[in-house]
Amino acid sequence: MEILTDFFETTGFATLTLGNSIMILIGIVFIFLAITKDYEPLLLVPIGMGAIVGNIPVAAGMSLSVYDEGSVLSYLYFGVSAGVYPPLIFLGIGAMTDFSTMLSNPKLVLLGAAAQIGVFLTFFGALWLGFAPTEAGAIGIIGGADGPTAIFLASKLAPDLLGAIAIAAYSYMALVPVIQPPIMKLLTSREERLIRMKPPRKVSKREKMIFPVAAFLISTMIAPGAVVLLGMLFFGNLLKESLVTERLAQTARTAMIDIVTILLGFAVGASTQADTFLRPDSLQIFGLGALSFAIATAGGVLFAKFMNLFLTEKINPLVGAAGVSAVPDSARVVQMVGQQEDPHNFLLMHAMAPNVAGVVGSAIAAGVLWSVLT
Amino acid sequence: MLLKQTGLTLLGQGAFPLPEPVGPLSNNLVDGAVQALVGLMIVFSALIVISLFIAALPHMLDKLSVVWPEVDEPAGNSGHPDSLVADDGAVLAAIGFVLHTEFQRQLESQDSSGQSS
Repeated sequence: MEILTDFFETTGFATLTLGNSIMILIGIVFIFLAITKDYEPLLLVPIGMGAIVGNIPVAAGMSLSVYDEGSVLSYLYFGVSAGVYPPLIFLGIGAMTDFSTMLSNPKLVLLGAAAQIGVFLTFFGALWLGFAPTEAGAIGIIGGADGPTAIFLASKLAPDLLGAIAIAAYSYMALVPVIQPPIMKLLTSREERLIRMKPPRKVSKREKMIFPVAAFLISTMIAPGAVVLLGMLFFGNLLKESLVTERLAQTARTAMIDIVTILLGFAVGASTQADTFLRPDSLQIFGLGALSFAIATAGGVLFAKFMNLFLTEKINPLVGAAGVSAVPDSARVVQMVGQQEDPHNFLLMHAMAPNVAGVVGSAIAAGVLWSVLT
Repeated sequence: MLLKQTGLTLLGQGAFPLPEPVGPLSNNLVDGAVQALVGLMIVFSALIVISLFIAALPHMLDKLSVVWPEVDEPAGNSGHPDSLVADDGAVLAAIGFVLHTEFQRQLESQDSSGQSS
């Protein structure tokens, strides 16, 4: 009997806390949403399963969690804590991104910059709420709506908040179709939503080959802190556009990015242990993240309206909402909202320009915050 | 302070490493506001320069093509099925189809309104 009692004390049932139960439930909800609602399933399934795994209580002395030195999970988590996975994901993103729409309409690049206002206003808001500058910077980047960038910056500036920031970033990315449309409709008139834009011009292969190298040089000369993320992003794009490294590009945008996404999602999920995740700070981070995302969306839309004051060929202000990056979901939302007003208006191609510019913009914003706050 | 951390300054000093840490920042909200504003300006500056470069690139390539003409790409090298955006050929075909459909629809509506009046 004593043996049975001793054994029971080593089981998860004996040491399960309310916090662990809540986190396991959150993990199950993530998996449920991914499967039934198709919300970012490639991320929410690994994160959800990771959250379940990370919150199984273990007996003292067993080295199992991501925070236990020498455990298997700690090695997987090293890629997160050392900021290894996000640049590798950027390599894959670069290898699958076509910058043609951006190259054909360069003024739309500015919308990718305007949306970064969410990052910096939230940085200020987090400071105002009493977060340390490094934590405020890591929280602000949620507004960039770019999961890998948020994880990269959080791992550098505020490792303690990494779990909450990663979950918030990916949750809001999954909720793009819910968060953005009301803001877009609120800030635009029907006439503005009906604006049709000129089809993009044809971009030559040579332009596409030169762009990644030139854009990398320009952006990292101005913001060297972005060298890792942008270096990998544009390297991946060069692999794609050079036409002579198709095998490498193919691997980067398929097998490699999938493997890293699995490891990243699972490790981040496993890091959300109840005692480190269920804190008042996390609630504030979720609140600030939502605010950041909303401001970023509004910033893009309002800047497009501002540009229209000076342009003869008007921009549909809805495409400004795609400046928050979240590729390609926010561009799809623009297309969906635009077609609600005019089923024959095709905004997807135009929205892809600020969308990919937003990826570059959020990486630059992360680089700036990292440079300044370390 | 932010300006001193650009790559151009570092390159001017004969080095291109990541910027040296500048020490902990003040928690003062005024400092935070200034950092936010200047940070946003840096993001804008970078993307404005990229935008200007993109706008100038076709003109530069036009001049370059006199010396180094662009050859037609091999047919097999166009497009990747996994791209986020379909490549030019498919895009142009889609745009052409949409325009054709739209013109047809407008012509039909004009015809019907002309007949009714």
